[in-house]
Amino acid sequence: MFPILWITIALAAALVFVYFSARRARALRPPIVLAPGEKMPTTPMQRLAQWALGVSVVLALLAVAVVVYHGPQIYWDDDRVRLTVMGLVLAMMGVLAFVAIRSAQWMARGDAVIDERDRAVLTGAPAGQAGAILITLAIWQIGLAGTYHGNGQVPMVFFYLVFWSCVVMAALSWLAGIVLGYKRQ
Amino acid sequence: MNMARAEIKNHIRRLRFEHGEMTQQALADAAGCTRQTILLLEQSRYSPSLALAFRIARIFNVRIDQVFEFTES
Repeated sequence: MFPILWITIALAAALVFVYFSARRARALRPPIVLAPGEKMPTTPMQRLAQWALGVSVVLALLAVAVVVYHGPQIYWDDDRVRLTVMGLVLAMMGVLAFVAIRSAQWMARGDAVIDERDRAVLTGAPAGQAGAILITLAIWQIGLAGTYHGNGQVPMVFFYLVFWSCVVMAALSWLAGIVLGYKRQ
Repeated sequence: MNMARAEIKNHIRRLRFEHGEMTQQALADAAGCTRQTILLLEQSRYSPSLALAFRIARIFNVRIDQVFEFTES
């Protein structure tokens, strides 16, 4: 129970910090004035990233749900469970590859589908990946150290889970970086 | 050293209306950018690259300093 409490406190503190930082940054900028009934236009890249983030979050949550439901040991022993999780993560990688290929195609076309702002957002999107991976590793480290400290060893299955969770977080944080990149401007 | 706060204002909105009430989309298509970029430019929420600034000035057939204004406060 103790590690989970610390993880929850750390995540809550991080979320509060991010929320207030974003609020402060937004307050410093002039507001966007739109005509009555006018909606903020979105760019094709922005819509693609929003769609991909939504699909990826659903796939990631499904993968986590399968592992949590069956438990790490059954995930390790039962090929069907492991392949289901692998399939969900690979589907997520497919979504990511689609976004990367589509954006590269748009850039190569050279028309106005992707402009300099889109390029700037895409360039800045990976900025949060290192932080997301570090937080993921910290959560695993706290959780595993707290749970298995008495044993002096951690079951092998967690090496795989740590790796795949870092892959998932890297993917999600890249897509979130694109979506948030548009919100920042 | 205390750096002065730089601000880039522009007259894109006025120029659009002076050019046959050109829409943001029409300007975006001509300048090779998205409508969102034009909207943010008009509201001084985005500073364009030099290339985009020159393209916009060329579309309105004016000098770049007649579209963009640099001020320091």
